[in-house]
Amino acid sequence: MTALTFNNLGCYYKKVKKPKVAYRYMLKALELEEQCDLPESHLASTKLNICAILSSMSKHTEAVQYANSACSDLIEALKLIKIKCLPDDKMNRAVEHFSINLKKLAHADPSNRPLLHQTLSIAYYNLAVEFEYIQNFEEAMKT
Amino acid sequence: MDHSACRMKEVLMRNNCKLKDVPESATEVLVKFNHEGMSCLSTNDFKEALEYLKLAEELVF
Repeated sequence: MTALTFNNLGCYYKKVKKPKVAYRYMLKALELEEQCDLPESHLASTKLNICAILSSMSKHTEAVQYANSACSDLIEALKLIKIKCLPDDKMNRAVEHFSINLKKLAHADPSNRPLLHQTLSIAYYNLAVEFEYIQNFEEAMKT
Repeated sequence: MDHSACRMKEVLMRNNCKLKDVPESATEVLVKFNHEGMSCLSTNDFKEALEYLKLAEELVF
């Protein structure tokens, strides 16, 4: 709940065009989310917010890093859902093989799959835009 | 009603909100503050939004 409050305050300061304050709140939110082992989808949303704030501050290289990290988190979240949908024996083998965090696996909800795909599309789009800003057109095209 | 809920009640009264659903626990109050704050933000009511969100921030410390 604390992380959510910081995240919301970050959104507020972003909207009233105080990106530096927004950035500080978003970093606090992300730190707490990471400490609490929250699902990757939560972390990804916060990272996308940070990416947007950094972009508005013309810090496009840093924004690329957060967008990239959000994409990785979302892919990880989708992987967890895929594993969760496996039959029990295969799921157990996958958990062992990939050293899956059981708490995160418990949070994986197959009904969130469409939302995660949607967020991943946004994350890739944002990543491509940030690559364009730093004139890295090759990476922008690949993304 | 705990201290947080009392503060919540104050804010709701100032805004002429209905009081019948005033939450009793601090967590519920926090949820309500966050929800109200983001609702105000979505309607560009920045002053109210900040008031609710700052109250939520106070509660988490």
